[in-house]
Amino acid sequence: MTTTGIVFIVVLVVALAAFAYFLGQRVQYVLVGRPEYRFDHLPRRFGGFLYFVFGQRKLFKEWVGTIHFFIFWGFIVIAFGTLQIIAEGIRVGFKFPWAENFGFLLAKDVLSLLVVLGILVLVYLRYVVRKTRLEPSAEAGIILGLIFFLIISEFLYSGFTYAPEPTSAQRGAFLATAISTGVEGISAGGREVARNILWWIHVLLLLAFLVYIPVSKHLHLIMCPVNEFLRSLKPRGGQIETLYLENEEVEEFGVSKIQGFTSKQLLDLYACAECGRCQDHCPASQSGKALSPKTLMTKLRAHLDERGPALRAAAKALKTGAGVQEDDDTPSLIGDVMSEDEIWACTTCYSCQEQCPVQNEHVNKIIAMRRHLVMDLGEFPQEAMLAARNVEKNGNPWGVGQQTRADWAKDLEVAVAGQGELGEYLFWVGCAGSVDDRSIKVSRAIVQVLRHAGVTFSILGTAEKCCGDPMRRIGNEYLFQMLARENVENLNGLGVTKIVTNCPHCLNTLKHEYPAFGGNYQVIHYTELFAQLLTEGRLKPAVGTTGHRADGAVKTTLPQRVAYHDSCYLGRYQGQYEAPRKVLKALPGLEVLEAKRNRSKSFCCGAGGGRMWMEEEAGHRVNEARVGQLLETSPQVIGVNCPYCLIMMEDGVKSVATGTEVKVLDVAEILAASLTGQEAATGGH
Amino acid sequence: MNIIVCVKQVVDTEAEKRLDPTSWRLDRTVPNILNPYDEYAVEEALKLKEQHGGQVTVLCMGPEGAADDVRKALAMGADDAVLISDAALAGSDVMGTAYALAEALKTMSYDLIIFGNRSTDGETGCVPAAVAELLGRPFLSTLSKMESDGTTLKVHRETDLGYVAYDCPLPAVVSVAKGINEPRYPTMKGILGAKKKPLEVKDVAALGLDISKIGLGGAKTKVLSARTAPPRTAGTKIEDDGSSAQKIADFLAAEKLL
Ligand SMILES: Cc1cc2nc3c(=O)[nH]c(=O)nc-3n(C[C@H](O)[C@H](O)[C@@H](O)COP(=O)(O)OP(=O)(O)OC[C@H]3O[C@@H](n4cnc5c(N)ncnc54)[C@H](O)[C@@H]3O)c2cc1C
Ligand code: SF4
Ligand code: SF4
Repeated sequence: MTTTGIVFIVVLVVALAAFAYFLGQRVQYVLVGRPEYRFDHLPRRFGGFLYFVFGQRKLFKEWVGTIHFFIFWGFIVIAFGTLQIIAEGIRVGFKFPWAENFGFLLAKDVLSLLVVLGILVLVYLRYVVRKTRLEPSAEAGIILGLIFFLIISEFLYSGFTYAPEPTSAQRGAFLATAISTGVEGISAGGREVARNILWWIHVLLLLAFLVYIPVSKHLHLIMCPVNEFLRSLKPRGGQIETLYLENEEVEEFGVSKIQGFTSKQLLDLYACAECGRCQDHCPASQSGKALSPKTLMTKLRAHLDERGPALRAAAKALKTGAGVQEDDDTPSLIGDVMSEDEIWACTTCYSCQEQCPVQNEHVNKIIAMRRHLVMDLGEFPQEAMLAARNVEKNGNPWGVGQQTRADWAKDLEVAVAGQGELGEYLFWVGCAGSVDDRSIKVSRAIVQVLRHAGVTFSILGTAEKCCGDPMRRIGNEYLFQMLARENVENLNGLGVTKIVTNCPHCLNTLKHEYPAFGGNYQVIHYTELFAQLLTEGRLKPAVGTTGHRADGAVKTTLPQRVAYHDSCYLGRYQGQYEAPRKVLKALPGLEVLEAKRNRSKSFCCGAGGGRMWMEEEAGHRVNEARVGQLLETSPQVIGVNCPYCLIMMEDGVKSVATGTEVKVLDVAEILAASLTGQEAATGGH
Repeated sequence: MNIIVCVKQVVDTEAEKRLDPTSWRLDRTVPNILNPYDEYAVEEALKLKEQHGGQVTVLCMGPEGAADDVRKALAMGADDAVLISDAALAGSDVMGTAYALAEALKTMSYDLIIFGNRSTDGETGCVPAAVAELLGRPFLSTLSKMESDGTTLKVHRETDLGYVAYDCPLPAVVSVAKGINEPRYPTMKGILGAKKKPLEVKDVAALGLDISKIGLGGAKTKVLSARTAPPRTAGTKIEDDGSSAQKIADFLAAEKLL
């Protein structure tokens, strides 16, 4: 072995020890969290792991993801080259089988070049364009610099090694070959000195990078693959943990301290690559609220790094019985780390999780902290408290008397389950559709369409109560569970099997959250049912775009340009982007316009997560921002599928599109109008 | 400081109120809630307890089902409760209610008794004063602010013109106005704990009540008839075409409001 080899091994051992130490520390911090079982469905987990990690699947949602793809694969190929470099430094003349392979060397240089170019683009984005989601942090600079010089030093080292005359195989590494030609003129001794220096530069950069990984955001290199493996396999709507609330021993039902999160939730913090995609799509961040899902991760991580040693020691003491007290000086997250404004700003739109390339789960963390505020402290925004009291007393957040819940359908003679025929479907109307004047028109349109298609159905009438969605999302799990139990008992008692909902929030709750309470139904959204009825030919929207007014004049009854707005709970939560579009496209003469942010990147209306009942004071209004995005398509009508969106979009249109003729209509209203030849509900003049 | 809060179970404010056409008693089979005014009373008591220590006891007269709403006051943080429940009490008027409450209160120790200003169903607002009279205690109603050093009470009593400040020795009886505070939302600990807090149910015999003073039979008032208020008619809409100021003035003059 060369002397270089001996020195190298010493340095390597030190570097590996440091790496292992720092990594071990972080792993221990993660284990401070509550246990959470994520080892079910191993084959599925493993398959997804390969798909997301090696396919880099979630990165391609944006073009910059391509750069990451090349850096990722570049690194893997370059690693083989580096192994060879290290080996030949320790034992002169040692060669791995790939060392003299033309194809490998060619691939290595091509990828290295792409990585270098990619890094230049990233530096440009971060430091010159200064994309807001990417802080020009020192950490990012160090990482980019390390990678850049790692590759450059490799090029140079190989160049000096190949000089004066590269072998035919070495010529595959075309860049190194070019360098070798350039340094031909230097004396053999000079070249050898340079080669040695470059070897050390390359190797030390590599080891520096190794040690830097566990203490920087580049820990994601290690934690992200683990996170991919442990990702939630539950349907999106069903990921909120159902709490057991009868246990009086429990000190806290929500999360007030960092160790209250589960280990998986803490792993997220280290998996975060700080790419800022979540923030770019977050309606709160984008409308000037305190919350950024990215900062949520970074702040919690910094806090965990800081509290980790003490918590770890406390956990150890607990185990050995040396001390029983938990680490009580860990400050409450709320106030010290996260502000209440941040916690209440989230609309649970799920866009952060949809966009996050490392499968981080933001929403449950926010809900866990809300649970603490609501259930442990009883401290939440007054208006949200009023909504909760209304739900308790009247079964709906509006606070309209429960006895009047079915009044919207009085003149329609809709069968009430339990009193009349159950029919094929139970039509779950929801609170808005039952008590909000504007949304009632949508419920009536749905009834009209169902009757037109000959679908038999009934409603629960005054027995229907709020499904619980807003209560669960503001953190009032107790009230949610009371509602869920009562509704499930009613539905089961009536023998309901198939449900069609008006509201996508009800859809999500009934479909994904009620099974935990013994409610198993086939639940679909009305747009899904309508799309199916159209396919079956049971709905024929032929009475089309034109009709005759009483005075005989021809007029258009249907809007022709409809900007369709994907609601979060039908879109991202259910993945249902097609059915509503299919319904709209089935209408003669109707053109569906797409906003730039559409489908999985659609922008929230601002009302989810209980935000419907909270004041929106900071920044500008989410609904106005969304209306602005939709107006860019110059629509006549903004088409929605959710009562919250309907209310928010109408409000938004009133304030940002004053003086225009733009209307907000529900897909059901537009379809109903086409069936009857009437003007779409509020579309008339 | 021991405080007793009197709370009433009322029919839900949003529920359609129906009267029985023969007895003219309120149909209570509709959803019931804790009288919203009494939540302010409970909150005020809890705030005083937080400052001065002591016990907060909830007292309610009502059907057995009222226990659910009494538990809500316990979930907010009250320590224990007494529910006066007996079929013989059904149909009691203000005097009957006040008599029963006062008799119960005489068996309890207290520094302060807090009432809501009025109930949202019976709405006479007379029970608190009647109880104070029967107990022979000072009484202050419609309070918008309350402070105590443990022996005296400093309060603001709301009037049409503003407020009047009073000092009052304890023990005393008070009733609080809506908005005096923001009633707390029960925590899970509170809800779970409330299930185990003592709730004593007392009947007429236990309190030794005089049957001739309670129930429909003992009522000093008799409801002879009642009718539904006519639904509100649509208002007059004045579109602004430049002459709206004149139109509004004419309207007000016609209604003899100007
Ligand atoms: C149509 C109709 C007409 C009526 N007319 C009369 C009438 O003319 N005269 C008459 O005397 N009664 C009358 N009553 C009966 C009366 O409304 C109540 O039954 C009687 O108990 C007075 O209570 P209140 O709701 O008016 O209480 P209020 O005096 O409005 O309540 C004030 C506070 O007293 C306390 N309180 C009240 N009731 C209780 C209780 N049961 N337990 C504990 N605390 C309580 C609460 O703190 C409450 O906030 C009538 C009832 C009806 C339905
Ligand atoms: S769920 Fe939506 S609002 Fe909440 S943090 Fe994520 S992106 Fe922001
Ligand atoms: S949480 Fe995900 S999307 Fe957000 S910055 Fe971190 S890695 Fe990127």
